[in-house]
Amino acid sequence: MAYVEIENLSYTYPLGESPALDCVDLRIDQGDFTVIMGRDGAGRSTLCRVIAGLVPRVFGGELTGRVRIGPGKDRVRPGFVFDNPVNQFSGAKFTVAEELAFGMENLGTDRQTMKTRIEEVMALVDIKDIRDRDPSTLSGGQAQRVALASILVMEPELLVLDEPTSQLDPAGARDILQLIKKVNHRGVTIVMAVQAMVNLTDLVDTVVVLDRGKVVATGSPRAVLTSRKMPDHGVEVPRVTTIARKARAMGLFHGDTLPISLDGVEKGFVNGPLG
Amino acid sequence: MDPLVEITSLSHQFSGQTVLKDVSLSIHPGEAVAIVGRNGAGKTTLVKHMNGLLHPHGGRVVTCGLDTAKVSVAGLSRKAGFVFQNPDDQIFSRSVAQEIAWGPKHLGFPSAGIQKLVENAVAATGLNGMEKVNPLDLSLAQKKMLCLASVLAMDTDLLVLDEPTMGQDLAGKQRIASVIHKQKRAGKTVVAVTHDMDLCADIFERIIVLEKGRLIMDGTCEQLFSDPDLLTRGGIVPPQVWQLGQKLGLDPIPWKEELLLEQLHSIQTCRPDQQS
Repeated sequence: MAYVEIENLSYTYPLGESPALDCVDLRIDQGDFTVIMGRDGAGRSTLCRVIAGLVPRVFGGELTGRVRIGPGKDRVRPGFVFDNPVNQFSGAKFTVAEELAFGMENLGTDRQTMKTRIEEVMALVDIKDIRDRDPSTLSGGQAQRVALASILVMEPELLVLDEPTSQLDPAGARDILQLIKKVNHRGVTIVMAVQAMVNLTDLVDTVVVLDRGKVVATGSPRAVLTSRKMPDHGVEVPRVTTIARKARAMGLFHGDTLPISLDGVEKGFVNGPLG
Repeated sequence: MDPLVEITSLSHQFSGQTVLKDVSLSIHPGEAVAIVGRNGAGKTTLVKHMNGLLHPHGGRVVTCGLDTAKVSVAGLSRKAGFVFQNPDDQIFSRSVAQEIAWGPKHLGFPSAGIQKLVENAVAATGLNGMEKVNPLDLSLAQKKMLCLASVLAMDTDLLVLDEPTMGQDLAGKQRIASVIHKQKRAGKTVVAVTHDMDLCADIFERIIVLEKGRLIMDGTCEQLFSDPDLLTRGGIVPPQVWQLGQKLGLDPIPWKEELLLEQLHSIQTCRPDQQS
């Protein structure tokens, strides 16, 4: 049985003129790492909100179809990391450490467990040096790390992230994606909306592509990213894939399959070992 | 030619913590400069000094001949446009068109010209058909475009962009690149804080790297990408084009797609088995 099961789901926001999601069918297995791609307005954030249970509960609007999360009758409590960290902060706490405690306080977690988890997660996400800073004074990248940490401390079984690295420097983004993979290795199911697959192709099990609210492709990163249709759906494929495709047309790339990452990419190019 | 921005020994602190230390640089009219570095390196703080949103705790900043500590932000806004990283910090009007028109209107532009400026800004940022939409109903990427449009409509000599491609899809990134190109062609000066190394490689001839509030490099993409120490200190990963060129042993290593393909083509045509 799938962990996340969505059948014939359509959803329209309260003031929306057209559906943000249109007849979506999707199955995600427990422990999978799934990314959702697509152009701006394709429905990526909305699908994340559906899986996290925020739509229609928080946003209102009209939802039809069926959504089932988790293996049993008890609904899984997902963790949701917002695309704009400022929208996620409680606004009621004056230090980063207190902000991390906020969710657990509301869940009734005991004090010692809270302290232990805060220390662990601050080390994991590399924010120990800003523990006493006011969250409202953080840089965009620091805020994004704190937003992720404040969800990780609650140890969700399902982690839904909407563009979690958009404000991070490239090295920081790579570290955070590796960290999310580590969380995934612990058995946490990951659903993440992204614009581009840089640093992700080797970490992810499944890529789902949305366009105008409809699922237009589902498959492995290689199957999806090397499909000729992706640019038409506004999907940003890795530069190395587009270069290899152009090089192939010019007789400069002879590999059997187009590369989606830099690993072993030299094979197949005109001056590479198999060129 | 006098510099458009002249920063001398600039220092700044937040809550006693030093975020900029002894930064000096000059930016001349028509230059396109990218400011890069790790989160918290001081990039946004540095550019907020260029239009007087922050005042120096040490040193001096002169923009368009005006000492930023001695003139108001409003006084500088005619010369220096600033697009915030978080669009919610910038947007307040009830419609897209009103938001874009607000700047030129309050700068005292003649009302006959404002409509044209709004139309041009809408067209440049792809917001056509959304003029009557409430900005709160826009996506993050659309809000960022709206902020860019609002500043373009003010037609300033200096355009400062904080993370312009953040949250943008492929089409949005291409549109922003095109806007910057057009600004350059029109002789405007563009300064962008960015983590987008593809954007740096494609557009910016000058890159400034900050580390913990200090300027550690002021040079070209090539200098930056070929220096492992700078890459580590700046938290920078070179674009895939550069990494691919490096893996293929190309010399010089190209940082633009067309250069890489040209080099591969030359290698192909020079190989003995290709020569008759």
